[in-house]
Amino acid sequence: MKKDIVSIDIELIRKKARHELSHEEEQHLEAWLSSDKANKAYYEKAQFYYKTKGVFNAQKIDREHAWNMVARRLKRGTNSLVKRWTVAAASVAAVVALVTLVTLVVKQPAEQVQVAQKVTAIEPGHRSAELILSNGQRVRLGQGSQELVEENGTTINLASEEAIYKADDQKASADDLQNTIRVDRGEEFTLVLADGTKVWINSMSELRFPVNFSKAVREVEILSGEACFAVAHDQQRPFIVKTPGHDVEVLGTTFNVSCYKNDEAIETTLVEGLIKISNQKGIPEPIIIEPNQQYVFSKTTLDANVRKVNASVYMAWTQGRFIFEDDSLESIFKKLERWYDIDVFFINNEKRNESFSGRLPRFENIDVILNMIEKVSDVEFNLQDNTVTIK
Amino acid sequence: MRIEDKIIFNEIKKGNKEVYQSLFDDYYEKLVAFAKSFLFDQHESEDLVQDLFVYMWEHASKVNISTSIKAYFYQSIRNKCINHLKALKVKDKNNLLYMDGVLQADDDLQHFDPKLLNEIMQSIEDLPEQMGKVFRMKMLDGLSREKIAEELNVSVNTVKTQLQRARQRLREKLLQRTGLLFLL
Repeated sequence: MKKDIVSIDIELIRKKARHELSHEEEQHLEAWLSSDKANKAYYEKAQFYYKTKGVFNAQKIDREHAWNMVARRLKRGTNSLVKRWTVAAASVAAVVALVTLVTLVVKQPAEQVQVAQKVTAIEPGHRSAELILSNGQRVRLGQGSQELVEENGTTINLASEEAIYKADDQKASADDLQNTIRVDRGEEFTLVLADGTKVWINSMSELRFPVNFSKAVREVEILSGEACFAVAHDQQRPFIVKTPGHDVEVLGTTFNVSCYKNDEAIETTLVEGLIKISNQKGIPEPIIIEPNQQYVFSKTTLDANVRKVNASVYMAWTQGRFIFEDDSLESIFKKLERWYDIDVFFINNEKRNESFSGRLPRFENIDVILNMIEKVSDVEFNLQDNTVTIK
Repeated sequence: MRIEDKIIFNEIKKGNKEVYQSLFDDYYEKLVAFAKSFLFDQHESEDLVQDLFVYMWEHASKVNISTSIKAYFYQSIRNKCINHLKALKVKDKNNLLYMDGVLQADDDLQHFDPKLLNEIMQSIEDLPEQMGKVFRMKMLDGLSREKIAEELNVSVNTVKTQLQRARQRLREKLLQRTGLLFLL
């Protein structure tokens, strides 16, 4: 939706972060923002960078992983690398072909993507959720702008894609009022908490948090599901995320927690900074997790271990993508089930463990996704009503 | 083109993937950091740099490098980023994003825009003596941190902190010149 062509200098975006815009400049910025959705996305990333003073800029780069991604895309040449590929297992070849294909398909405009005839259109999830205020009142999120005021003066600005909390320092009591956000199947939503911490909440998740932070410790609780936290730095007040298995304690950093009820493990993945895992049954000493490490806690055996991962893969959902790296179809379809609100059945159980790699768009209809997987792997999908069967 | 660059690029044209990979290893992080100061997005920046490397390999015979491989890399990424910003109707009139990118990239400065280089040279004059020295050795002479530490008889950590501080100061200076304060 392009209206008039309004352009803007980066200077204004910087000045906005410092609240230095004149009335006219503010209007200019607004005009630019409303002329295209993509503008807004860029603006938010820039604001986030300037406001956090680039703290999150130091995200680790996984060069080895990047090289693998590049090497898979190369076609020219007949050297050792290619030879190694030909002797590798057939499944590896399939993955290579897939990555190339997916890259090609994703780069084409949506209209050109071939859609199989047999599938009906199942649309991706959208940005919405339900908010439960401290007095028990329920509010639908994602339906336009609105401002709410909590009993202690905290205002909640509801926009179509996020809710922003602002505490009233005069009225805020030491006794924090709690809100709960419920994000259903086929939904996701973003919150900005009263301390400036940004939280992306994935489908089928529930998070409880205070409307303002007046205590010595900032504490929120993820009851189930998945959330990614970009915690606003505050040396004085640690930020604690309580999960059903343990606590995650931070000062200011970006990390992802996944604790779905139907997943066997709770996974905490760190992008930047340091986090401390504490308060876990049977483990008295806190455990320090570094960037690109993942803490995996088994809910059944209560065992835990730390593994090296490419953290950006686990954050991809907050940026509108699925990234799969040798993931099993079973785990992939668990994610698709939540986002597309579909049911999935494996007719052939062996297919559960078939692996797949690729980057897929999160905001396309499901047939686009299924087509991509089908083209390069040895599986067949059938889509009827809201059920995908896998042969 | 420098003779070393000519040899390197010829190898790539011939299909020498080892040479190609070592170029990738040398430049990937720097180019991503550079792109990221325009785009503020790690994924997009990584994609962009990966695309450039794939293009360079697949179309080696068509790629025309007039100055140096390094200059080609930075210039290409800068162009890609500017195009990206054009689509968003964002301008960078005072080259603020570019300057920040140059400093983030942590590379020697000789391959960037001479006008910008001039600005930076002038700002170096205002740095404290030791800091300016360290910065010059790293960014202009292209010495490693270890080498600088050895020559100045200080620890590698000291060199690292000096460089970090120098970069920060320089950024502030450069942005003041264009009448802006930068948040760092």
